[in-house]
Amino acid sequence: MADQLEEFKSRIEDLISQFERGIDQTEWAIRRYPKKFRDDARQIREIPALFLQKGPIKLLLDPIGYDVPGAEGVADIYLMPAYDPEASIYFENGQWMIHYDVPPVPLETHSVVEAQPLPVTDGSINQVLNSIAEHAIPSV
Amino acid sequence: MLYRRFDWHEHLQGVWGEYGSAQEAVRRFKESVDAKPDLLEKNSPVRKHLRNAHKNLEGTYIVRLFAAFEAALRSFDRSQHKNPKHETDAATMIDQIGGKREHGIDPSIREDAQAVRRVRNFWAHESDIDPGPMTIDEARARLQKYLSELPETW
Repeated sequence: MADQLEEFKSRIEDLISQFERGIDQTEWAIRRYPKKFRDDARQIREIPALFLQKGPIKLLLDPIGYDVPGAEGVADIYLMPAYDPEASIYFENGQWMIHYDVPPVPLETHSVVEAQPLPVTDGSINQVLNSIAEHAIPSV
Repeated sequence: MLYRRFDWHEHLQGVWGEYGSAQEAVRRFKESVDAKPDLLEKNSPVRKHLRNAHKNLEGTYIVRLFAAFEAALRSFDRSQHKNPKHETDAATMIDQIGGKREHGIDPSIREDAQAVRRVRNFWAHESDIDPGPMTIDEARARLQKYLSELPETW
């Protein structure tokens, strides 16, 4: 039986490498940080998370897990330091897809724009991160 | 043993994430039983307690969330006192912990955490003092902000 956690780790490393390559590093400072996961044998293994900062806006790309109904892995993007959820990235049908609801435009009647999931590309990474940064209210 | 603040943040976030799944599961199950009562035996304890399980679930998870936060503070407090058995109550730790490089923590951040502690007390101890409503999202944000004031490791 394949080691699902090791496979998840490999997929997350690919995702984070894609962020590191694709992100506009003139705007964003980034730093990897190891997150601890317990495997089925209760041993601890480390999978990278990624901190991102643009001015006062701090985000965390946080690997969540592989045992997700309907997907083979998921990572979340949180607004720090409150860990407010901003976007999710699912590994589905062999690729990472960003699920991000664009915040509402003031005075419009609907609460959120439910966008279609976007494949993770240099363009979608910067589009989503910049939208989060534009709409976020930094708490510190 | 070296403790990393990040691990405590993730522990809190794990509890908060579990709540969302549990809340949805209980809500859907309750709706199913309301629509088709014979899904459960007449005398089932599950039937008797389902309504309260649904109503109180958020409070139950706030108690767990605060327990994880308190464990993080206790770990830090013991390292500061260089005593693995040092005991300080949660209210005192929230007020007295010094923050990064012993710099102070903003009083508003301390008060936000104290408010979550009062909500925890309400749910855990059946306190007579109603602290008013607080969602688990608000509790999570307040506690994570407080934790972010601690050093990266201790």
